[in-house]
Amino acid sequence: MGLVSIQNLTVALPPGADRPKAVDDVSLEVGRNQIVCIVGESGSGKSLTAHAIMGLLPRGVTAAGGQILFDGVDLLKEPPGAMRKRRGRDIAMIFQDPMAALNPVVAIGRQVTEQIRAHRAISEAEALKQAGALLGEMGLKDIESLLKSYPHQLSGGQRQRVMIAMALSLSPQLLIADEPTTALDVTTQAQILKLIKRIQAEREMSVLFITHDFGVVADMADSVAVMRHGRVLESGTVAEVLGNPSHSYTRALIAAVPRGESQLPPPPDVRPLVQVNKLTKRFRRGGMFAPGKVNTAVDNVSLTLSRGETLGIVGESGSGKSTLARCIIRLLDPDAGEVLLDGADIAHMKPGELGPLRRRIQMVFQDPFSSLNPRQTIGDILTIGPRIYGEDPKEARARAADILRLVGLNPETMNRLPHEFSGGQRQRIGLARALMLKPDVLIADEPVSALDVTVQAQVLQLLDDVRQQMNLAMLFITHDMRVAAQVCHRVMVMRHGKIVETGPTRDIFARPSSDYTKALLAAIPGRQVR
Amino acid sequence: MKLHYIFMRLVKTVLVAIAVVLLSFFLIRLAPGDVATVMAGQSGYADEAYMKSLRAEYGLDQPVPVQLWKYVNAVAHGDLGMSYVRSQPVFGIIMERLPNTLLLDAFALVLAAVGGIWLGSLAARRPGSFLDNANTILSMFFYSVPQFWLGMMMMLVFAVWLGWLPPFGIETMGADYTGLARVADVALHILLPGTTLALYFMASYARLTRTAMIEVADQDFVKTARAKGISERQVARRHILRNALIPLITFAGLQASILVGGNVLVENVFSWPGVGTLAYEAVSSRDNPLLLGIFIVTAILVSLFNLVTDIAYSLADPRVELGQ
Repeated sequence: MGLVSIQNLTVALPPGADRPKAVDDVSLEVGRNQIVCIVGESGSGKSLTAHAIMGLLPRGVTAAGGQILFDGVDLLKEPPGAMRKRRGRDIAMIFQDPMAALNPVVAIGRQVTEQIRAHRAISEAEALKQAGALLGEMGLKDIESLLKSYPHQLSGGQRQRVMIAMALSLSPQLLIADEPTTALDVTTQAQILKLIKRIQAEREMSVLFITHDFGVVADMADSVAVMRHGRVLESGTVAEVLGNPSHSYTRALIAAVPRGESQLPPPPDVRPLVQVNKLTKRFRRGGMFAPGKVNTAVDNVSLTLSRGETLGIVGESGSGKSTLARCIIRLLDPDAGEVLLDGADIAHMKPGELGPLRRRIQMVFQDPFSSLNPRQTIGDILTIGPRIYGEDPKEARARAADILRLVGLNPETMNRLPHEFSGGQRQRIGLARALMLKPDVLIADEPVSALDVTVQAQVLQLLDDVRQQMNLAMLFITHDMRVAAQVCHRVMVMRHGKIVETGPTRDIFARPSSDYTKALLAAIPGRQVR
Repeated sequence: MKLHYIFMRLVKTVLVAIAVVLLSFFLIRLAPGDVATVMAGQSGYADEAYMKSLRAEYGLDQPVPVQLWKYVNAVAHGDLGMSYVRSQPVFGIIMERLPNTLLLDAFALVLAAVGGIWLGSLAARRPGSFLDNANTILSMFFYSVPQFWLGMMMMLVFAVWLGWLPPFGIETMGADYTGLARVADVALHILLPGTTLALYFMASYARLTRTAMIEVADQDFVKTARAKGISERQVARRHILRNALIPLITFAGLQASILVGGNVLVENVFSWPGVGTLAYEAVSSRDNPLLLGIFIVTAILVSLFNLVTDIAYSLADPRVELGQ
């Protein structure tokens, strides 16, 4: 028998939720010394299943039926005190966003020792010694100062390593990892995945790994369960599920994993519409009296962009890709260099001259939840821009209906508010808003990274269709090489504010010239899927 | 770097004090009447010549710029001038009263913070419960009731009807207690005015603590804390409350400033011999040098409290660097 055996688990949502059950009759086995992946999109119930094992369901959400056998004991029947002792000792958990998962005002060392001392009667000094050893085992350096640091002083990868060290501090039999790499950069993700695999093998423990990414599944899992709408659609070994998916949804999920190779031909060779020359943007920190620190976010970057072309800007967090976009659209004033739109330098225009040109460059933002004003109807959101440029409100509304149809939404939704739409629909609205101004250039800043994989594929397709139909020049910013490969003619790789390399997408993927690009490509999870 | 920042803040404090001197010097003169009219009124009869001699004595017959220059010059030399009415140095009068005000303020602040945070964390534990609702209603009551009225009612109940506590003053007149007996006597006297002041702020503390704790309880690191297997009490204290208290520091600093500058009403209701009653006397007798002196001293204190608040904030939250 396996370590964990979930039988017919049902998790009920509080009355008034959008559905009665978040988890519906789920059965699942986690064997000893095994990595089991639950894969599914948001709302599939994968995360609540994991929380049910920990006995940490949110307030109002209850396990309404079934059993969770851990080493033969039904965890759902354990009294709270006994369950608390199991948490951290027998079962440990790591979370998606390690910055949010660590207490911001408690030193790292203290956070690790707290867990150790909750279960073992040892002194703080002794616990600190153990914590140091664990952090070392996770590949962290300079332990002495690390123990005294606070979470905000660490990088994303370091934080997740701290979380893993904490989780492993009492040698639990089961580690639950809830999307542990989703918030991390690709290269960091690859390292953390490797670390989890290594630790699992060394300690011969079981891991329940929750993810939305079939690429990650392919790299990590021994066996896999696919969840949707609270049910397990299919489960089996990785070879079975990936090689021969029986359910159409599984096939759709696998198909939605972006292939890491470019299908697009090299760009048409025409006169560029946008020309960026030696653009530099620096940020200064420090107050009136304090000596300032200067951070060069964009360092001497040049690029060209033509009509009908998509240029991908790929880079990890802190590479300066978003700052570059903000300078091009003049949300930020660059310190040096020029941005030519049809030959006119918009980087140094006065607000009065800039006004009429703003319409021509539009942006689609990353977060579809915070980028739409929650108190404005879709109709208002779409027509306010054109109305500012003097368009007749009635005409604007008629055009808005057309644009909504173009992005695949029903024009009758115009009187609704943003919160009535799903993430993917909102991103379509964001795109419609940009298109309403009849732009020549569209800047898409991580437009799909907040979306589920199947939705991601649809939105990417839409962006590409729109680019073709309206002959747009598109600047596509992403951290994900796979996504870039799907929609970009050319790719520019950025790191620390500088261009690492640039060229047609096909060439970059087939023959990357820089070590950094090679590392980025190697870090893409799930080679088997491709 | 940090010392440099603190030094610059102290320089700013001096600038603030200068601005306060200039501004209040003119503001005070906007009010009709001066010390001569008050004194003339008190003596029952005064002719023009007497008023003129009074004004000459206090230098009020000179042009305003000259008066201002003389005053600023004196302040720059550490001399806040002489009180018109009491004929004593202003600085001495204020310093005699200031400890009483600070004592009352400190008592009220500590009581409000401790009580409010305790009540707020009780309410946050079960939002929507009876305790939570009772807390909300009481908080709204003490927050909306005028302080002087609350003071009078407290006096009526605890001093007049029940006779448990002395109604006014800082110590029993003529008793001349010394040592511990005196401390006990002052402690009894501080209870009514101190609690009156504290109740108002306690309500705010309770509301703020409740909101902050409910907000923090939703954050991921609280889930991490539970996943570690530590007890609920430790989760609440070490993780939720510890983070929820940070915004309260700003509020406490604000409260200290309000108290030191403005508890005129409560001090007067309870005849507390502090700066608040002094300010009231100075206003009603047109004792401008005294009033200006009070303004300068409180402005400096408020600036210092702000600095202390910022330092405390940077100590409580490692993400905040002093001066950033």
